[in-house]
Amino acid sequence: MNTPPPMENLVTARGLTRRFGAFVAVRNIDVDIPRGRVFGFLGPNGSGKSTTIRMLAGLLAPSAGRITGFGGIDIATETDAWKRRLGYMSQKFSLYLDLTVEENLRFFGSVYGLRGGSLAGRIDALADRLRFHHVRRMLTEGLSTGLRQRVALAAALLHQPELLFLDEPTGGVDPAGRRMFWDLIYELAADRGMTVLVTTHYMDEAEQCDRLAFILDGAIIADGSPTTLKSHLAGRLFEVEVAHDAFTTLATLRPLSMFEDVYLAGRRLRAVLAAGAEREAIARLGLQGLAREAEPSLEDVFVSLARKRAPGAEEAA
Amino acid sequence: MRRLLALTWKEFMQLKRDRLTLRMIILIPLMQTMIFGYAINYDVKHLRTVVLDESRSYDSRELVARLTASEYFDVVGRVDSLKELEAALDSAQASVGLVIDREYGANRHRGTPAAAFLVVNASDTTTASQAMSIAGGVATQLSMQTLARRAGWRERALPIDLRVRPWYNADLRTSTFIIPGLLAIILTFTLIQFTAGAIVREREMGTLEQLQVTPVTRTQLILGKLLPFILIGYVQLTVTLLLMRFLFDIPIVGSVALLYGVAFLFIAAVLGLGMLISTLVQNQRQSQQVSMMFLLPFVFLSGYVFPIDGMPPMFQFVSRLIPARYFIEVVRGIVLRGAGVDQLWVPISWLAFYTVAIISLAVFRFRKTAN
Repeated sequence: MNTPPPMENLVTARGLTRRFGAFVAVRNIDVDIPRGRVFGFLGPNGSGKSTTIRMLAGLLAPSAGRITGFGGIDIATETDAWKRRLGYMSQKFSLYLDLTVEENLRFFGSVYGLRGGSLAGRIDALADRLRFHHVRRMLTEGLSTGLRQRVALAAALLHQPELLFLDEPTGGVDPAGRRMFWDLIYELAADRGMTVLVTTHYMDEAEQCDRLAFILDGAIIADGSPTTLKSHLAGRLFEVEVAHDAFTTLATLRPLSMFEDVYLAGRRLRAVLAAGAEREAIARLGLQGLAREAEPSLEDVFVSLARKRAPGAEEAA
Repeated sequence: MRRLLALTWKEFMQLKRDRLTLRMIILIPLMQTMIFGYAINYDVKHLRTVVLDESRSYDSRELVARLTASEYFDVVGRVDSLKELEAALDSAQASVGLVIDREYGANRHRGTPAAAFLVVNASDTTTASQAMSIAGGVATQLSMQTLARRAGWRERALPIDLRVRPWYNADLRTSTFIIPGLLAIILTFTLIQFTAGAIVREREMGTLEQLQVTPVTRTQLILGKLLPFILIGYVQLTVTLLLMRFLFDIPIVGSVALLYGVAFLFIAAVLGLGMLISTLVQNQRQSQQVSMMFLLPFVFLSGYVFPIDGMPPMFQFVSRLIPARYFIEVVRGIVLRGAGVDQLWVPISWLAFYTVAIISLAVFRFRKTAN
C-alpha cells in the first residue's frame, strides 16, 4: 500500500502486559497505531492478538502498561470518552438475533446517544452503502453470514468512530464476501479518515494493511509495512521445481545449516537461505533443478521470523 | 438515563418476540396457584375404612356412627376376620381398619374397659396422624360421656370447658396457609431462571461484549437487565394476589401497599441471585441446573409447606439464610393477620439485609467476570 507521509499516532501503548493467572498472554508490548491507517495484527490463534485488541478496546484491563490516545485520553481514567471514539466488531458479529436489523441498529445507536432524525439518517446512509436495505425489517436470525457481517459493521459505524476495531472480521464469510468487505473498509477509512485496527490470520488480508504487527507468544516479533516486512527475506528466498520425490529432497535439504528453512509450496520447493551462506546454498539447490529467486509472501516472512524465535516450531500461521 | 431507557426497551422488544416466555410469565402463577391451592390439602377427610365388628352390638354401631359422623372416616366395607382386614389394607382398598372387640358392648354395660383398635396405614404420616387424633378424640368423648353419666353429672358441658378458636384461618383451610407463601415460590421459580438465562444468553451470543465496548456503564447494564424483570415480578405478584383474593377467597387483611413495598426487596433479592448464578455458569443449560438447585431450599426450608419449628436445629439455621423465609413470614403477616411494619420489622430487616448482600455480591462477581 502507498503510505502518505505524515505519521501521527492515534493510539500509543507502552509496556502492555496481560496475565491470566500464571499464564502471560501478552508480554510487555509497545504499539503505535498511526492515524488514518489500517493497522493489522497478524498471528496464530492463541498468540495474544485478541487479548491485545481487547485491551486496546477497553474490554480488558491490562495487568501492566499504559494506553493513551485520541490526543491525550488515558484509557484507564477516561474509559467513557475512550469508548465513545471507537467502534468494535468481533468475529461473532454480535447482534441480537431476536431483534430485527432495524431494531438492532436503533438500539446500538441510542446506546451511543444518537436519536430521532439523525439516527434514522445514519441508518439509511449505512443501509445504502452496505446494501442491506431489503432486510431492515427482518429478524437478524434469518440473515446469511455475509449480511450479518455487514449489519454488525453498520452497528459499529453508527456513531462515526475515529477508531474501528475488527477482531477477525471475516470468519465464516466466503472469499467474494471478504473481498467486498475489505473494499468497503478501505473506502470508509479513506472517506472518513478513520483508523482501523484489525486482527487476522489470513495472509491475503494482512497484505491489505498499511502497517502490520506480527504477534507470537504474546510478543510483537516484527512490525512495519508489508513491503518492509518482506524485505527481511530479500535475496534469500529461492525456489526450485522438483519433478518427483519431493519429500525425500525436502528431508535431505532441511537439516543442512546453509538453509534457514526449506518447505514445499505446491510442486515447488522453497528455501530460505541462511545469511552468509547464500552462494553455497544456491549451488546446492541447483543440483535439484533450476533455482530462481522468489517473491516472498507475508507467510514466508512470518514463518521465517517465527522459526528464528522458536527453532523447531512448525509453521505457526 | 437515555441509555438505560434504550437497554430496557431492547429487553422488552426481545421479550415481545419470545412468545413462550411471555406466556410463562402469566401461566406459571396461574398453574402453580391452581395446583397448590386446590391439590395440596393437609386436611384429609373421607379415609376409606373397613370395619371388623365382632361385637355386633348397639354400642359398637354407635362407635362406628360417631367415627363416620366426623367425616374423616368412610366405611367402605365390613369384614369378618382379621385376615380379610389385613388384605384390605395390604391391597390399599382401605387405609384404615377398625376392629371392635367381641366383648365391647358387654364391657360397656358392665363398666369395664371396652376395647377397639384402629389400624392405620402410616406410610403417609399426615393421613395417619390425622386419623389417629380424630379417632382418639371420638374415644375420649365417648368415655367422658360414660363417666359423666355414671357420676350423676347433669350439666350439658363437661367439667373443663376448653374451647379452641382457630384465628387467622378460621376454616383451617390449607389453601389459606399455602397461597400467601406461594407468592414467594412463584417469584423465585420464574425470576431466578429468567435473569440468569437472559444474562448467560447475552454472554453466549457475544452481545454482552458488544455492549461493553459501548459507553454503557456496568451499573446501567445491570439496571437495564433488572428493571424489566422487576416489572415482570410485579405482574406475577398481581396475578397471584388476584387469584388468591377472588378465586380462593382469601382477603388481604393488611396493607396492600406494604405488601408491594416489601415485595420489591424480595424481587430484587431473587434477581440478584439470578445474576449471581449467571456469573458462576458457562451456558444456559448449567444456569437452569443451578437455578433448580437454589429453588429446592427455597421451597422446602422457607416454611412454605413445612413448618420451620418442626425442623432439626441445623435446618432451622439454614432456613435463616433463605430470603424467602422472611418474605413468606411478612406476606402471611400482612395478608392473614393484618400486621404492619411495627410487628414485621424484624423479618423485613432480615430480608433487606439479604437483598443488599446478594445484590452486592452479584454486582461484585459480575464486574469481575466481565473483565
